[in-house]
Amino acid sequence: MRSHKILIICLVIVILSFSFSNYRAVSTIDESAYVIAIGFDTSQHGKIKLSLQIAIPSAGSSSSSSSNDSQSASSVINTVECNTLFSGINLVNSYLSKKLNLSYCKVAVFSEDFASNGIGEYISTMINDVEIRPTCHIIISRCKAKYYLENSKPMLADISSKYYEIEDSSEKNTGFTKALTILDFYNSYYDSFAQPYAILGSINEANADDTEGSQFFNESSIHSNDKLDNISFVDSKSSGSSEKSIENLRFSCF
Amino acid sequence: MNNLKLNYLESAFLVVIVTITHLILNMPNTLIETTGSASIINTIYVTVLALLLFSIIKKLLDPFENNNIIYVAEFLGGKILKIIITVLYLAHFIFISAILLRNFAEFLKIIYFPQASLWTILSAFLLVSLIVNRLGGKNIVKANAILMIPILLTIVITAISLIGKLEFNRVFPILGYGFKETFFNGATNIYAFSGILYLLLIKPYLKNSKNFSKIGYLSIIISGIYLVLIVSALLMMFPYIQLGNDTLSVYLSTRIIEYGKFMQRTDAIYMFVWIFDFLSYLSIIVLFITQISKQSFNLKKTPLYSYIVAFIIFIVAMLPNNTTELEFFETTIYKYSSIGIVFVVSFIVLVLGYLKKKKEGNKIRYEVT
Repeated sequence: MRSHKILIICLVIVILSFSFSNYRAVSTIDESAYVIAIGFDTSQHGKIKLSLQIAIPSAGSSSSSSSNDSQSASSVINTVECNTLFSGINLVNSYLSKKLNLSYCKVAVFSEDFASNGIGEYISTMINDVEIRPTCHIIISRCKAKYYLENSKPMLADISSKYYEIEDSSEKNTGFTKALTILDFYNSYYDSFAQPYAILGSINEANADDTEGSQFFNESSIHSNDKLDNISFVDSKSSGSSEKSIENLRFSCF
Repeated sequence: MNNLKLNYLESAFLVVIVTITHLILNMPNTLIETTGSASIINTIYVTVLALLLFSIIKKLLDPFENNNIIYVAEFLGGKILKIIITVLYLAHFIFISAILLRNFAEFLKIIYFPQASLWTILSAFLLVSLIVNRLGGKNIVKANAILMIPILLTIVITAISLIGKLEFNRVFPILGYGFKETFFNGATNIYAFSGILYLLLIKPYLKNSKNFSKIGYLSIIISGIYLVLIVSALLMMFPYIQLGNDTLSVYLSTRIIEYGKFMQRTDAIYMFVWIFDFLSYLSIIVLFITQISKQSFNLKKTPLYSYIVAFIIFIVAMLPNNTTELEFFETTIYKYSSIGIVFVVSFIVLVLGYLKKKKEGNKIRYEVT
């Protein structure tokens, strides 16, 4: 009886230690690169130009005024051309020394041009991914998504992910927009009584880092047939008097 | 289990754990997929049906006093029928526990242990259930009764936390795909109450068999309340569940629960509690398998038998080649095998046994007079 118990205890210890504690199963913070924002642009060669904004933990922790200068102080933006979100992530993984982790992705930015072709399949992919949280915000950018990410400057925050979270939920103070998530969008997409809509973002040209990519897309170029494709902007462009570079002030309706 | 005497709550929770475990996994999806926006009405309807069925079962079991369906089968058709019914029950228990175990293990692997192999996760669960079974049936049942409190709480908290995010328009059209789909085809959703199978077996192990009806009604009502709660929350939360393109929706709902800016990603807490739920469920299944076999085959070495049972569960759990097969086993085979075994075969055995008993009773009375 006693030997049985000892045998069982030994078996439990051995199996648990081999299964859950081996080196392969453990992914430490040093081995992961945390994506804080994803940008989707149209590409001439491939289907998507995927921009991944990856946090640099050491840069984020050191508070300095330099973080005001550029987003690149606390993060780096990698852009690849690919057919799907995950093929893009695999592509970045192939040359990055760390594994990309999407658990802390706070915002998904789709350029207006890209969104006009339909984003339903990308939202479905994101909602079904175990790493991306359904509470990740969704923004339709009137400029290129990469340009939008590059010009998202944390002014009063050191950590970019925190900045995105606060920035997108600033509606609580202003009421100009609503903190919409990919889950809200996805639910509206399937609802029989609602249409999907997202936060409309743009760059304040007066404070933009450079002018490349800042040109706004011509609204007349938007065309399509299905539910997701008809973008119409509820409001017009704002005056641009804000001190910060990005402006999330309106909605884009699909 | 012969020495095992269960009290009122312990017995009721034995049935509730079955429903709750299925609830945490894919059952709400199947319920919602079948009846669409009429799922709430349908769940209430099948709860009433389950209550009615139980009241009939109780009536049919009454003449057999403290005996269960295995005894009724023996009374009706001798040892052959007893063995056939036992084998059928054993196959059902092994099949559902294996499929659920595989489903839960796959889920854990995807979410938390992507690098761990499947067999190690399966083994970990089965080992725990074996060890717990070595400690005795009474301990399993008591532990289950204690664990039920946090398990039931997590589900209530999940539903309450979702209230602000629910869209009430999603319950319309109120009759979903139509009257026929809701009340005729939707009646198959009674498989959600397949825990009634335990009620058919539990009677000899009750401290006071007069509590049998109370235990049955209480367990079905608790299960029904939780089913309605979760089905309503999910229906009003995720419109796409109706299309049947999603899994583990209860877990998904915990992923969007946030308590302010500081309490985010609370799904891990829920998962922690649900792992215990699953362990308890698996231990109870192994216990029941051992005890039914003991009753039917006069087994002496039950510890050795439980090792064999665990090994068979492991083998069956490894059988599905992919998650598509697994989903088919869970949503189709499990559904119809539950209906067949619990609500058709058992019911027929009980009715015929009851009629035979009545006939014999009348015969004796006739001879006496």
